[in-house]
Amino acid sequence: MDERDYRRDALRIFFIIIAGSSEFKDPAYLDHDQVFTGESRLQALDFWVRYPDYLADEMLSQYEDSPEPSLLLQSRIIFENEEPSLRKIPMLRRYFGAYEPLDTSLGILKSRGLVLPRTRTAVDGKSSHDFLTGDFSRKKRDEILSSFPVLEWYRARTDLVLKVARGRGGFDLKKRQHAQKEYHEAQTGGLIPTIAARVLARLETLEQTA
Amino acid sequence: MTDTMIQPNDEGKKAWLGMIAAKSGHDPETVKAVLDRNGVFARQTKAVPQRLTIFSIRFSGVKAGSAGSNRFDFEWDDLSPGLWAVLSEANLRGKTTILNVVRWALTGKRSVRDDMSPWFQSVVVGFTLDGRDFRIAVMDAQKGAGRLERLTAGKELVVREFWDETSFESTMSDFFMGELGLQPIINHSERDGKSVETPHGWNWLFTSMLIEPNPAATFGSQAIAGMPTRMMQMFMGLPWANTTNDIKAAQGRLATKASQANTLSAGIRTKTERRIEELKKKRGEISQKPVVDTVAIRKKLAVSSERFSSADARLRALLTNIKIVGDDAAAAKFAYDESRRALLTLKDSLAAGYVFRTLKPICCPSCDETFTSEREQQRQEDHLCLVCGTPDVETEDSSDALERAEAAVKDAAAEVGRQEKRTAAVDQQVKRAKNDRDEAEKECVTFEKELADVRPDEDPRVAILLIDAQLKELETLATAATDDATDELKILTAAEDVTKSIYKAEQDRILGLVSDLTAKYAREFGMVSLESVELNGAGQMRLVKLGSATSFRHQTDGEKARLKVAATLAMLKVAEREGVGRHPGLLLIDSPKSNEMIDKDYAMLIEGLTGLTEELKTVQVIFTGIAQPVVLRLVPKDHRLHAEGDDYLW
Repeated sequence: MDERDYRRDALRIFFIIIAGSSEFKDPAYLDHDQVFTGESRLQALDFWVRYPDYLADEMLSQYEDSPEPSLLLQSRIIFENEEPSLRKIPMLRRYFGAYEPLDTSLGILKSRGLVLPRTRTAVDGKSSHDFLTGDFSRKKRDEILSSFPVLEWYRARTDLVLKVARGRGGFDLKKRQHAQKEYHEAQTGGLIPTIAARVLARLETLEQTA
Repeated sequence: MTDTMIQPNDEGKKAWLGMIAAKSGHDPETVKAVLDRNGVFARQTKAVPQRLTIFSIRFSGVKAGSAGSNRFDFEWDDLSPGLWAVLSEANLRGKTTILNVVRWALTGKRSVRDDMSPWFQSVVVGFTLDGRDFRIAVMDAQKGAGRLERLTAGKELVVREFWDETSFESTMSDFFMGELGLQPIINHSERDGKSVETPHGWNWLFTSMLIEPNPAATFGSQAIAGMPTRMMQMFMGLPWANTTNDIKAAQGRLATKASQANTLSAGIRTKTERRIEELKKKRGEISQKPVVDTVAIRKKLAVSSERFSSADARLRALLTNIKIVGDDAAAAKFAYDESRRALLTLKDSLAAGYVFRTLKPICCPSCDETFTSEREQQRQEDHLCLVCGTPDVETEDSSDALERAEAAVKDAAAEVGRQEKRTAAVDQQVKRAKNDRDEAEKECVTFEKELADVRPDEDPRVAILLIDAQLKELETLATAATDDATDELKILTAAEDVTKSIYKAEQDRILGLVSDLTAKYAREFGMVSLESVELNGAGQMRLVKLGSATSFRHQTDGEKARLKVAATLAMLKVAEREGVGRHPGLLLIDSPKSNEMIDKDYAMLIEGLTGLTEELKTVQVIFTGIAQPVVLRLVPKDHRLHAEGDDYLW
């Protein structure tokens, strides 16, 4: 589908925000009890959802650091389901990495009362974004999943991506993603290429020595 | 001598060679080469008789015996041609020794009895040869040292000196053989398979001048086959006599050689035949071996090579093709992936669209303004968007899009399937082509190895050709081993036949004369019953006595002695009359009385001899015997040496 489908993007962002949120308490926001911090973190997590091969590559790196069989297994499942081909949603390379303006998606989510984006300005004048969610958001998410089982993949994938992210912030994650040659060397303004063949070979090597 | 006989002069030699060539079937050059090589020459024989006459016999020394030692100085001078008698009235009075001293001096070979030999101190014998005077002076008889002198005009010229028995013997031999124009006769005999050459020289020829009391042969002292003949021929001096002797010697030599060659070639032939058998066997074995047909291998190699090339070309084409097919398959896979991704995306989008349509906006995402229920109702009635007032569009029926997307996936999957089949087919073709190429390559390697392994020397055909060549050579050799010697013998046999035929008539005539004269003389010597004598070319003497045929061998010693004297004198007589022969005309006859000749016969022999020496004026006969009245009557006193009573002659 060539035509840009912002609703689908909004839905994916929604799943990421819910999965990546932490507890939030503010008397000014009684309807919201969870917060997702960092827009670049959101961008970085979205990149791993959209590029299953890069996600698998990160899992294999983590496996090499500390051999956890589930990491190999998860990677193998990604390839068995042909996800690098079927689930890839290409992203543009910008100066600071994979980036896509989230305004439209967030507008869709905000108008439906699913996510409340906030902009805060710090003492030094720098502004930061966070995204508040509450009971309504979670209730709607559950309804969506029960109505459209096809979307369950996003929930499961966002959980996995957050697990692989290991609580790292946007800066660390971007740094990590830049470490991949293909990601880093992609022409600015061009689509970030797939690394599926390389990662599959790496996976097979690690499986043989496992 | 007949006028028709071919003489051994230049012209005669040519005719002689031509006759031998014609008889032997060889050209004259070959014949000449063979005869030269074998020492056979047509010799000009010097046939002028030279007379030998003893004129002085002297010897001295000391007799050593049980009765003490007695010095002796024997001197008998002024001898001349004619009949001379050495007589005693008892036996063992030194008669034979006087003859032996003569023999000793003339041959250089000590001829006195062994027990007497140490007694002699000096021996001097003077002789005349063909009118010239010579003297043999053995000054040291024990050593055999002395000299041969020529006495001329009151001077003594030394012809040769000798210092021991060997040099004495060779001095005398060289002198007389040369002076008399004689040549040694080489007799060939085979002993233990080896050729033994026995030269018969002066010492042997001298025996023709001796008549022993018990003669063994008609001429000379040896009865060896052929020797008397040759001695007779020699002294008769027939022109071809020496040539015949040459031929005889050569034949003897060659016969021995041939027999040796036969022995040798028999060994070689056995070996050769064994080798021929070996080679034949080997040839049989080799011919069983399969022939490695390199041409066929090369043809097969060419076929395999061709198959390799075509399989390789096919494989290259397929490998190019497989890349295209792979690209197609990859494209199909990509299209398939894309179609499935599109379907997934569509499904996601449909779900998202539904979700957000069912979620009513509650505020403006831009200004955060919440919407009133009135606004909500109004916008719903007007079919306008609650947020932006954009007219609602009819919700698109998504089922078509979904169907299309699913159909696209199906189509792409089918294409992938087709491309997979195509890829598999090409893979199969590649595999087959590779297999074909590998097989062909293997065959090429095998044939190449077979060709490399074939060595020309292992080709049985080559080996058989080589063996055939060897066999041909060996078989030729095996049959031609003795041809050469056979040819030479043939030529010599022809030479003998030709030479004999040349002088046969002459010889027969001469022998006839000698035979008749011998019979006449023998009868004069008392063999009155002898009717005829026939001397043949082989030196045999056949007799007819009282009508019966008999031979020399069957006569008593006395008869043999008389026959021998008769034959020798007959030969001398004929030789002188015909101007041939080389006998020196000296006869030493020892003790005829010791035979059983009766007085009458003895008297007849002496009488006969007396008569003959008158007839043959140049001949000198010295004989020994018992002093009987008949001898004393017939031999003048000055021709007698007489030991009277029990006296010794020296």
